[in-house]
Amino acid sequence: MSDELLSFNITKKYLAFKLECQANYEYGITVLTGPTGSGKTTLINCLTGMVMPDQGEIKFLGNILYSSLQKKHVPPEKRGFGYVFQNSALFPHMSVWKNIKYGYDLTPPQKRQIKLSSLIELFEISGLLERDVSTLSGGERQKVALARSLATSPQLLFLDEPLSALDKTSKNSILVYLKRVWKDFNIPMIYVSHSISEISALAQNALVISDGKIIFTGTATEAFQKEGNT
Amino acid sequence: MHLSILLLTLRVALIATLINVPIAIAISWLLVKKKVRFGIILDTLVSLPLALPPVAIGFLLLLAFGREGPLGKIINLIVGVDIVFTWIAAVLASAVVSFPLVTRSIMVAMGNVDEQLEMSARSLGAGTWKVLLTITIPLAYRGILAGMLLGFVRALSEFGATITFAGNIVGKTQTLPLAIYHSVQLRDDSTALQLIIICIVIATITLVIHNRLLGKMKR
Repeated sequence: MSDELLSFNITKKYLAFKLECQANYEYGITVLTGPTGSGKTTLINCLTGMVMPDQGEIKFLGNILYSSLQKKHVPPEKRGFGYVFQNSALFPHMSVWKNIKYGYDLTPPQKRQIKLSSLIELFEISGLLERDVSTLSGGERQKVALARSLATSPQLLFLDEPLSALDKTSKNSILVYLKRVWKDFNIPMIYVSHSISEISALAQNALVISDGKIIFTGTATEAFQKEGNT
Repeated sequence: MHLSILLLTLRVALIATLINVPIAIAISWLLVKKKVRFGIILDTLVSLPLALPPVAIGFLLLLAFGREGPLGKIINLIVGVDIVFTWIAAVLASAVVSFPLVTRSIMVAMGNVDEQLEMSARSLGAGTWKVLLTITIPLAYRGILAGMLLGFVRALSEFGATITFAGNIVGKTQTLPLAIYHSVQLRDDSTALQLIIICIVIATITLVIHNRLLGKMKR
């Protein structure tokens, strides 16, 4: 079996900006990096189905998620991907528990592979469940956002700069949790970051994007060395 | 006498508001969240009653729902009634005139709901309807309520479209504004003033609640 997880060849135009990307993601933890405005978020919004590309094709495990030729666009709720946002995007009108249960309840029982109890234990959030999300710290918010996303037993987890708004201590603790997620559940991840160094200890593969185009694909180690040299 | 006028006015305004809210939510969602093609045309149509003289709206409703009007004929065929010069006509007139205010408020409220929360809900498996019902509407509810109150208070004070389309029939279509007009015509200043005071009291209470809701929305 090939290691190819996600492959795409898409274009998306936003006013003067043009995203024109072609790549294959392999199974594992991949870091997607590039400078601000390079198109990282646009790319993952296209891959997750939040935004429809103008042209091209996206395949996941051989299944077509988007094809301009076939006029096919699988909506985000049917892709089976998790998506953790930079600012957590926790629902402010729900408690922590209701946030976590939201996606779990929407997941068909036969597809639920991760128990809520194991997530609560893994992220050590049992004391937060009844709390209003507005009372959580940045680190706690990201732990809840991760648990909420994983509660849907996603086949692939997208993380859009999940540590950028956190202090160093919280960053380190979230990285430990991500390591455990990979170890315990084996869910592949695409981690968007400004800098590879942030996740160099964790990532196996790397994609570097600049001005809407992918300029490097390879191992995270190679990308890290390249970043260090520039 | 004043009580029956008040009750009719409240009934007309309340039903007009209840008719408007689901339509206004649907149109706001199309314009703000779905960003439909030709949205500018829909947006203009929504605001049109705000820019037209109410008497013109009443006349257009009369043409559409009159015995010979296209909609009037259909209603007559299905239900066997003529709605012109009935309290239902007063409801329709009030609904059309107050519709832009309800929709505008809901559009603002929906526009203030963070798009990432809706995207997040979709990534968790929620379809379009589920997102609307569990994220967008609950987070925009204060604005929706504020829009309802604004529409209600506008429907309470509706005059031009109502008198043209529903007439000024005592006990049947005579709402508070029409009763005030009637009293002024008869030079019955005392009754006119009493009715005006009732209007002021209801409008003040409604607007105070509306402003409190808006204040909470901004916080």
